[in-house]
Amino acid sequence: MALLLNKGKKVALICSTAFSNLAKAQSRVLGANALHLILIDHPLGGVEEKDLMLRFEQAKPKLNQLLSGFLS
Amino acid sequence: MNPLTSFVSSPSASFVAEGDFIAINDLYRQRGWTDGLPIIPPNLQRVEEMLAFCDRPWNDPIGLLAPRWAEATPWRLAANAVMAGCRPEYFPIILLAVEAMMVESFNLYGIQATTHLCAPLLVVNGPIAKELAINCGSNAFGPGYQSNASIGRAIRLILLNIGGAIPGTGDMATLGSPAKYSYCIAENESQSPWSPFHVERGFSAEVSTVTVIGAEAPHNVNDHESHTAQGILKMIAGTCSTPGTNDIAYSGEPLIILSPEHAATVAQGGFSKQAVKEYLFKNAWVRLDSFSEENIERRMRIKFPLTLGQAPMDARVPVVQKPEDFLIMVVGGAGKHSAFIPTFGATRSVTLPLKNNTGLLVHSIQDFKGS
Repeated sequence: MALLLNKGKKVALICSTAFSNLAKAQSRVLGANALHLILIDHPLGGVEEKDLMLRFEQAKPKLNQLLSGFLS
Repeated sequence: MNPLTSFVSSPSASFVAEGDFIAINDLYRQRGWTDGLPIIPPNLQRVEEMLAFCDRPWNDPIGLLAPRWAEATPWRLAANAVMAGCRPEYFPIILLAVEAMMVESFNLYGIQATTHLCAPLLVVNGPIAKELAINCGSNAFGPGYQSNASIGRAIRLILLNIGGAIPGTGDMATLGSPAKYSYCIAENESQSPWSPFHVERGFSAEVSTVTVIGAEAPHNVNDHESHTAQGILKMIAGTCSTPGTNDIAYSGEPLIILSPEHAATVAQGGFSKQAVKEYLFKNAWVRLDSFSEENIERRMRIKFPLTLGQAPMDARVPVVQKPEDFLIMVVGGAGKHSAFIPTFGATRSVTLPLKNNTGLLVHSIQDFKGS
């Protein structure tokens, strides 16, 4: 992600809440401060498909907002 | 100017703190610089003393430690070694272990940040193990020896303070493990019926090495009844045969520890190390339907499409992908207990020889002193 960002790409990271501290720390360390973080409820692993869709719905508004910004 | 003084004069390299031992420990603990246990304050004098056995420039960049990707240098390692309670003569082993962990195939980044409960296990082979009194016998994985306890602890503090493996931020282990406090042993070469681990890896017996393995804590194999090689190996194979390890899903290299008594019986039964590996490869497996349906469909069939993609539910899932993936060592004292040590899976063990700064093999730790 950081590599793509540093190459000028628009990048967003979907991250579950329990791992947000790790994601922020890694963004800072790797110089990817412009990385957009979209938080969803933890956990993501091992959830059933219906819960997976709920996570996606949770991320969608922010994702749409970012994509609009990326494309404008 | 003392070189150490010049290093620590750079911004944020050092700080001045006043207070007694308790106050300094409180300060370090509040800043998250400890493993929860008291540390020896790493003042300039102690760090310099620790570097007495360092034969390279004290500010020599060794490499970057994940996940913080901060630079490891001898003097930074030495500060953590002081905190851990190490003697100066342990320092070359600590530095070598850090270099081994930085080898890409070890996958330190994964081992540091994973939700799995692995920790780097250090295994020392060769004459240095005896010279530094690194325990390989009774209670080798337990307390009582300054070398085992403090070298292992130094590695943990290095991974925490330089590598950034802070619980919850850099180290995401769901459970963690006592092995994360300190995990350092030597192989019991004198009581092994086979060639030592490092000789198997291509080094001569007189060479000293450090092997790092991204390992769980030991799982015991209690076998007081078997009096044949096949009996003992069957018990070990059975203990290995569990669906919950990372090795079975990620093609890992689990470690098999044979106690001297078990090793003697196995060797007397005509088994070489290779024969042990082949027996375990053939007999350590799990039925596919031992996994949950979700694990079968979402993990095992996908990760092993050729062998498990269409396999029936009673198919055998081997614990390892080939016999050589079992690592075999002889450790411990009297008693009929051996151990199965699973690993992180997505890691390969690394063995490096102990050399001085000019690349020559070192046969005594004293060769480093006063460099």
